[in-house]
Amino acid sequence: MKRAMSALVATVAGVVWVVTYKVSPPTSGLASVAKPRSSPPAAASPAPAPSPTGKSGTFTGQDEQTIYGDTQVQVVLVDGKITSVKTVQLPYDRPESQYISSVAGPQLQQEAVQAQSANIDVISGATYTSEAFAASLQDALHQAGLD
Amino acid sequence: MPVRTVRDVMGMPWTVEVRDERVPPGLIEALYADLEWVDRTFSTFRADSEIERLNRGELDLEGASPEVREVLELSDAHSDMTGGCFSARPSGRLDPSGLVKGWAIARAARLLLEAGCESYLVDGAGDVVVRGGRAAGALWRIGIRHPLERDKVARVIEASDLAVATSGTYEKGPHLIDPRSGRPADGWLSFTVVGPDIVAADVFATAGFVMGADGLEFVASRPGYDAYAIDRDLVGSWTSGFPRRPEPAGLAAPYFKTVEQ
Repeated sequence: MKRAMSALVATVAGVVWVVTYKVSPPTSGLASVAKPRSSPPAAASPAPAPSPTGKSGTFTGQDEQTIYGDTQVQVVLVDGKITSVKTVQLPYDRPESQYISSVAGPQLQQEAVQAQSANIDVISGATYTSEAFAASLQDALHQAGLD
Repeated sequence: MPVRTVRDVMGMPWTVEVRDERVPPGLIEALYADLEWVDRTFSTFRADSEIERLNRGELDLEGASPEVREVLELSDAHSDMTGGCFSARPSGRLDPSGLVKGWAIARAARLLLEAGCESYLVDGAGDVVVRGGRAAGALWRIGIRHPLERDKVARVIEASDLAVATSGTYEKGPHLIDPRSGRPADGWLSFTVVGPDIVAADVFATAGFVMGADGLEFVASRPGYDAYAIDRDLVGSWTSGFPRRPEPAGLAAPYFKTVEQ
């Protein structure tokens, strides 16, 4: 199969070309996972009648930043069990200014110009918003004393 | 009213945006319910999924859902197409996860299309289908993530009807195995494929990634598909048909020039 594929590639080699250029190098190595904001974590709002057998209430995790915007997760506990997890602050609120400053490097200046006139709707790449989701969730559980 | 939703399904973030003025009531809920069904049926993390029951021999293919048979047939077809660089049995066990996400995105997009939507975007954890545009006369703008800096994009594509899929190891560490050698693939940092079908784009991105140097030529040989890849020296390379963007006013320089470092 590999050989067949190579043959196939060879037949089209005449009409295919490949371009190479340098993507802007990283400024600080691998970026860290979603950075916690400086704002204080949201306070828990206890349920009116806490159960004696386990913690109950609504706990809101720390706001986690992603390039799509902020993610914040809320968990509802009844008797120490999670009954719901929801995202109270959704990412993707189109932080236009972030995109403008984020496209850097001399090779990408033209992209930056374009980003200024119309921002980006979506990003293709390996995912990481789930990490922010998980981080905010963990924070909410920490507030509930469950982690 | 246009809607944009983000939810966690299959352990990853999904975004669905519909820009049509009228979105049928219940459509978005139905879409996410379908994604949840896909997860329950195909997840290798759920002991009661059909895939895991097949793995334990508790279920045979004849008894499986038609959708499971469809996915496994698609997996085999794409495995052949990629010379074994994509596999639904990467470690001996049945695991079509590499194809299921793209297949689920295609299902979601088809649901929107059949409901009469004209402008929408479905993003399953960084693999994207767009149709129509973000606004009247405006194309969708899709960034390709910089492999090392999460707040940067390496390239922007403007498109109306396109599937875009990216494979990379930067998020989870080396997790893509070359089925030909059984070893982690380490030629590229990220490999993006664009084309008409998200299932194929997704599989070709995985295959192109594990093929290393042969990956670009492989994708170029697939009619309708193009690729953009970034290697470990942060050098980007792409096939000749990779989408050009309309030039913004006042910029005469070509977009695809080679830059010496």
